[in-house]
Amino acid sequence: MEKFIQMENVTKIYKMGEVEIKALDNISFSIDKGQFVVIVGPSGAGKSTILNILGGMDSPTSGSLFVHNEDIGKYSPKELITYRRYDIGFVFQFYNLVQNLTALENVELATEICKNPLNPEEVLEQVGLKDRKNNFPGQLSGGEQQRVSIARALAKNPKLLLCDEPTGALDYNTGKSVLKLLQDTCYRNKMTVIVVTHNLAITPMADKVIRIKNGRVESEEINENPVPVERIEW
Amino acid sequence: MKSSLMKDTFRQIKKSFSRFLSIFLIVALGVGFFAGIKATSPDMKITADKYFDDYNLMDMWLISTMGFDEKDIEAIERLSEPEAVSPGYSVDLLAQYEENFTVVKLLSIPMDDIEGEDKDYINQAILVEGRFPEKPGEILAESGNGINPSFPIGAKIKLSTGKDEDISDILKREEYTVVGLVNNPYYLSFERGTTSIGTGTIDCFMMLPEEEFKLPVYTDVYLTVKGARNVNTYGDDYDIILDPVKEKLEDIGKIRASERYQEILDEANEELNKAKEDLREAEEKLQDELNKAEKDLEEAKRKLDKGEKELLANERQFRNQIESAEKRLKEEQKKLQAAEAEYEENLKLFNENKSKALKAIEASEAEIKAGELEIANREEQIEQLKASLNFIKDEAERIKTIQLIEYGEQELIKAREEIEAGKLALETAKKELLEGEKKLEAAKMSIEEGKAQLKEEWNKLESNKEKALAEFASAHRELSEGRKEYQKGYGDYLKAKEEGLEEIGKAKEEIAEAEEELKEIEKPKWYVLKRSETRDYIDFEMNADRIDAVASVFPVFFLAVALLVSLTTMTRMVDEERSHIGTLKALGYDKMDIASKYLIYAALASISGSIVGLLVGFKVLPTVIFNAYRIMYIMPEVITQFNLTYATLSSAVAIFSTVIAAWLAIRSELKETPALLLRPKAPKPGKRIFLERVTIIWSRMKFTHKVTARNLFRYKKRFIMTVLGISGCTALLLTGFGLKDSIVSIVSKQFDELYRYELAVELKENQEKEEVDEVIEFMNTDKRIRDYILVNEKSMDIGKGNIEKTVSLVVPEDSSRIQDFITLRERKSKETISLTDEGVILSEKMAKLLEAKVGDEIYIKDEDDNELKVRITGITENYAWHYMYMSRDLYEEVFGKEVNYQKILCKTISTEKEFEDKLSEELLKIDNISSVSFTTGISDSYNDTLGSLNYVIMVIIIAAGALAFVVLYNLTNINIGERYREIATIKVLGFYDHEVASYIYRENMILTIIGTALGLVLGLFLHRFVIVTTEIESIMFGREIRPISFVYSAALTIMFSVLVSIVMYYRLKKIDMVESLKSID
Repeated sequence: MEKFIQMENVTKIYKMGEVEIKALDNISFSIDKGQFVVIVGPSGAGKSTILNILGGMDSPTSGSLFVHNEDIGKYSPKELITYRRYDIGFVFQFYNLVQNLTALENVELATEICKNPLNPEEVLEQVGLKDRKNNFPGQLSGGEQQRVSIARALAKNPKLLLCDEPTGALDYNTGKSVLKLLQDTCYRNKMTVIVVTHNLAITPMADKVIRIKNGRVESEEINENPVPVERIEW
Repeated sequence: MKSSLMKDTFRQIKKSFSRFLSIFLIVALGVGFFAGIKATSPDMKITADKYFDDYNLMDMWLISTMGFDEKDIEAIERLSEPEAVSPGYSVDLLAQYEENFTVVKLLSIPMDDIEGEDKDYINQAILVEGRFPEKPGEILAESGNGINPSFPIGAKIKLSTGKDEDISDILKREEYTVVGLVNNPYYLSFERGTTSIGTGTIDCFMMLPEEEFKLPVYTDVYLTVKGARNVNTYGDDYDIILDPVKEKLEDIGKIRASERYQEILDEANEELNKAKEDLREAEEKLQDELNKAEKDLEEAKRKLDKGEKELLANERQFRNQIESAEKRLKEEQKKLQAAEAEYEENLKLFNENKSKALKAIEASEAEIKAGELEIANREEQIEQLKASLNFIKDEAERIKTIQLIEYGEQELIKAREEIEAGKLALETAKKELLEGEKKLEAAKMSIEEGKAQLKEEWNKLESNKEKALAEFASAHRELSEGRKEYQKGYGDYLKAKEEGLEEIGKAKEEIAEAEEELKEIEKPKWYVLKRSETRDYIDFEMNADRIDAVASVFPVFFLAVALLVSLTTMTRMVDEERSHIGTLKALGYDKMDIASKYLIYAALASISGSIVGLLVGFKVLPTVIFNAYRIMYIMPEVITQFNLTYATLSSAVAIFSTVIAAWLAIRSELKETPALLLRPKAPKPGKRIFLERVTIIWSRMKFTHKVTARNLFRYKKRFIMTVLGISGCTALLLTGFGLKDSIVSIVSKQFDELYRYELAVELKENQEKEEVDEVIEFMNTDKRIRDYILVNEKSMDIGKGNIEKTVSLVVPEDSSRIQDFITLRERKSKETISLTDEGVILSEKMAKLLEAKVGDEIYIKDEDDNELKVRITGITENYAWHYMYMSRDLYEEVFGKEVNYQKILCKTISTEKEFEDKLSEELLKIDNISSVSFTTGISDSYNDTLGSLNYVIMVIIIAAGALAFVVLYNLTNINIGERYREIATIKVLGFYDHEVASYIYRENMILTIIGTALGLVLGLFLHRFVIVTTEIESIMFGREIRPISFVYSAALTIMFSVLVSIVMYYRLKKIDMVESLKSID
């Protein structure tokens, strides 16, 4: 199986005035297409930085990142936008829905700018919000909002779905159902899904678990038999 | 307050410096503009006051119809109130410099007083260049800041009166040299007034030492009043000080007037009596002279008659003499002729006898000859015989021969004797003949002699006759000459008599006239003018007040917009700081401590903004505006004052409203529990908007447009604030431009559209018809006058209800032709209003002041204060002054008297200055014309005044523009700040920069457009309001705003909006996407 994502010796240094903070220190890992990957680590370990770089929101200081054999690390800001636009779907911890748009419209906000978007209504149906598509985020529960957020990411028909603590703001059951949705999406649509979390409990459901600590890859392990979400408890 | 909180406060300022700056700038702009504009008018007045005080401008100015003599001055000086009394001279003269004539007002300058701080030196000349006069023949000219026509130093000015009078009656000399250029505090503007000489407009003033004047009385008296210097000349106190003095002076004026009147009357009576005496003498003298002349003439005639008679007698006598002489001569001649005839007869007779005699003589002579011949023959024979004797020897023969000889000799002797006797007889006959001849000769001679004598006598007679005739002719000639002379003398006499009598008659008439005049001599009248009743003073005050009027509404609105925005900003800030407030509250700080941060923030921003705004506003705005006015005023630099009232007022409002806004915002936050505060504020739920119901539109809208539409309506407060802020700025801009339109347009409207005449000629009062005809004749014949109309124009008090105002009543000679000279039309519909006998037409502003409309009845007050009712039949467009038009018939009906025309409105063929000057000069030479004014001149002076207001408007426009920019910047800033997360999110979603920008800006643009549109409507009202409050009573500003001004205002607002968007684009670009990952704090 070809390596869909190849991160090689990526280092990211933030300059805060005089102080240099090494957020990522020579990180390398790879992800295959269609894998459900969980990147896990404690707060401040650098997993958000990895996510930013993977999502085209930030560029590595050194090293290279190949996505579909393209060196994203060398992209110009504009190319990065295009990359985000067509290749990336992003699920935020706090959903980041536009409050002034209905669920459907929030999805449409994303599909508006894509080349081959999926039908927003169908996607919403997929995430189980067929009946609530005309509701505003304020009228939806957290889980529902996160589903909208996922639907928004999926509708773009991206190559890569990045999820930043998707269950962080959700209660247990809701979190579970969201994760289920993500896992189902991954399998059903053969989509590469990367979930960044500090919650170790969900690692069993992943095809691959990358553990990050102090800006380094602590371990990179393949889970031969991922467990369905329903069976995970935390 | 805790020090850590303090630190936090300052860090907050540093962190959100752009917000702090926004509030600071908006407050500075609002406060500065408000205070600055408000302070301008007071500053202008203070500056003028100081200027007047510094150069001792008169408080009171007295002029009199008869001038002032020493007694008048003494009477004034007896008053206790005046600080100084300074009499002086002023005359209007023509000044010739090189080839040019200028009309100047010549003022006297008291040279004794100009040294030092003499209080008696009023209306001090301000030396700009050169020096004061030091010796006679030197003069000061006006500096005029180089705008008014003036003369260079060293210029030799020749002065003349411009009338029949001689300059030497007024001044000691006629040529003066300019040695210095001055200004005078009395002349603030560049207008020098009007006069009756030259072009009718005074071009500049000149000042000449008092000693150079020769006028018998002072023409002006200037006073300063004690205590007046200490108060502001434009304040109420000033009039309170001056009014009683004015009253006293007027009282003195009345007393002095009657005294002067008596003096003048006495003097005039005396003169009149002298004139009468002179006349009597002259009459007597004339009579004497005439009598003598008559006598002389008679004598001469007598002599002539006598001479003629003598001459005729002489002639007759002479003729007699000649006749008798001629008769005698003719008799003589006849005698002579008789003698001649006798002589002729005798001669004939003689000649007959003579020829007989001669024949006889001849016969005798022939006989004699024959005898002699015989004798000779015989002698020869004898001789021969004798000779033969010798040969004859024969004595017989000889004796015979001797006998023969003897016989022959005897015969011979006998023949000889016979011949001798014949000869003797012949001789006697001849003698007789000769004697007869001689006698005839003598007779002839005597006849000849007689003839000659006669001829001589004839000649003598002829020459005598000729001579005598010549003498007679010359005598006749002399005589006829004498007659002619006599005739001439007689004619002369008659003429002299006639002339003399005529002269006497004229003198008598003059005396009668003088007597009549004496009866008509009016009492001298004093005019007591306060400083505040002089033209430039009022003009300046009006301008200052006009700025004040502009400042009445406009800055308030301006400040309101500014404060609205700063208030929004503050509220927004507190909203953003929600969790911070929660944290502090959770930590246990009390409400006041927490609130203090925001209150301090607000206070710091608004106080510092106020201070900077005040400092800049108080300095810059009055300076800029005043400097604009200094183009038309000769004044020193403006004195800018820190006006405590306006400073306190504006900054208090600014600080208060900003701080209160912060307090209100924070108070509602503080009410909530810390826990609630720490949690993110529940985002405002999205809502369906009305537009969505209109599916046809909604479904067709692009998705992003839907977002925009919904966003617009979601944040109602922001929407309202933004729209209000923007519309406020647009309204301010539109008001600014509109003010300009309204004010500037009235000049061309009034003078080009409404006044269709170019020239107004004012006739002297109480003209006889013939005198008016003289002017009309000029109008009729002069080719430069295209058309003219006679009108009567008079100030009248009119009223309705209990409002009473003054208007100019205009009564044209011909109602139907008035439209050719003055457009009477309804302003909005532009429909012509015709002047009928039904009622009057009132100018619009007046109708408004009277609250009258068409059909209403108003009253006119006549000279006896009777209220005469008339109906309004039309209200006409008019911008300057107030007019009431009335037809001639109506006038005569209402007033019961005939119209007396004293003004002529003319249309000319040109409006060139040279043309007008020349025409004006010619017109003023006509005695009956008192003044000439061209509408171009008036319109120019209006343009100048209103042009300066333009600068004020420019200031307003610039300030409104600046405000628009700051407001838009701030509002966009807030907008972006509020939607930071949303923007970060859509960036993560892969929106390109321009898509992000348009996502945000679309809303801004729509807000701007709505705001602009609303602003244009709002501006319309604000403009109307400002116009109405700014208008002075005698002027109506245009009500319309030109379409282009709407375009300008809208375009400027949109331009600022675009400018702000450009600035903000970079801020948008910098928004960090990572923000989207952060929790909502």
